[in-house]
Amino acid sequence: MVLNALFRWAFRRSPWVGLLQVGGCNGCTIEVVDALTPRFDIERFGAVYKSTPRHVDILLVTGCVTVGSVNFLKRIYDQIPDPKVIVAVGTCAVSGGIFTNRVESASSYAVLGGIDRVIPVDIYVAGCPPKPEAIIDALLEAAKLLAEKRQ
Amino acid sequence: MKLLKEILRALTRPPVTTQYPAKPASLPPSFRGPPDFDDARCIRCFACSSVCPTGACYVQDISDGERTVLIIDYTRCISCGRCVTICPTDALHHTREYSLLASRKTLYTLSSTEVDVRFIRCTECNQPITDVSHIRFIADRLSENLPEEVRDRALEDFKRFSSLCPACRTKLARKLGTSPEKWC
Ligand code: SF4
Ligand code: SF4
Ligand code: SF4
Repeated sequence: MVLNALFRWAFRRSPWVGLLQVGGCNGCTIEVVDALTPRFDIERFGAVYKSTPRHVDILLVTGCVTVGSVNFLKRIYDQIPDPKVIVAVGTCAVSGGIFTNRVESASSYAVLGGIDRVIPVDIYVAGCPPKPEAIIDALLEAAKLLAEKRQ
Repeated sequence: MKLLKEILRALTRPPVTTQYPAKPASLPPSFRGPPDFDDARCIRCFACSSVCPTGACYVQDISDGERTVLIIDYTRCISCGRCVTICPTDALHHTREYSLLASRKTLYTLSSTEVDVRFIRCTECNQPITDVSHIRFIADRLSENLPEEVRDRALEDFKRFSSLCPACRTKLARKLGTSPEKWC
């Protein structure tokens, strides 16, 4: 009981962040990297970038799901320990963006669409690409959600 | 010495890190956010929906040719601005929205109020053609921009052709002949 409270207190200001690109044009990935640089610096909020899914609390996914990336997206999702928050960053990750169309026949044959076709998503960030400020907003929102999930 | 200078400079300069959540973001003057529309100006011409590369903005028929809504779906919009450029009545404009986040996708869709379509139907085959305000807009433009000599004839032709659907229009054009000499 006390230990749990201690853990929650310790976790409160240290959401660890992972980044995964499953398709798209790389624009959003660069914006996320931009948010890590000294100019925007998400470490101000205790967020640390981690490159292994097993250490990650918040996963930022960029790009649309392609036929080739379905399996590794699922596998990485399963590797993240609970509780986890998945953030879809960019129009591609939200809906498929420029690689798909509202009209199914005008979409690419190799693209499934947004990542919520494959894994559950907690927060959607639209924009092509979203500004680093939007990514910071999403991160703060995700940290709040994470604290709620830990309760 | 060089290092000392660097240290002094670092001590006196403010940090480069933005104070973002505390202070508002700085947007460049030419920042293009996803578009918003002015409902009263839209003439339902479908130009925006035909150029949008992702199908984000479209005019949706909600009751079998009776009522339509103009919809902009921010989950699809890539802020490319093609719709804003093409819109003949300047009904669309870019917003300066930069942080669009939501926990559900449905929160993103922006739709206009429903508008009764007053479809003009083809006088030959009764197919719906387009909205009355669209035809009126084109007629206004023609009468504004055509030279004096051809205006009356052109408008007369326009009246005759605009009451037909594309298929019947082709038939009529074949019958009348559309050689350029007609206008000389
Ligand atoms: S949302 Fe736009 S910038 Fe981001 S990956 Fe897709 S195409 Fe690239
Ligand atoms: S800005 Fe581009 S993507 Fe967005 S609605 Fe207009 S045409 Fe479509
Ligand atoms: S292009 Fe402009 S006037 Fe035409 S349907 Fe779109 S918003 Fe309406």
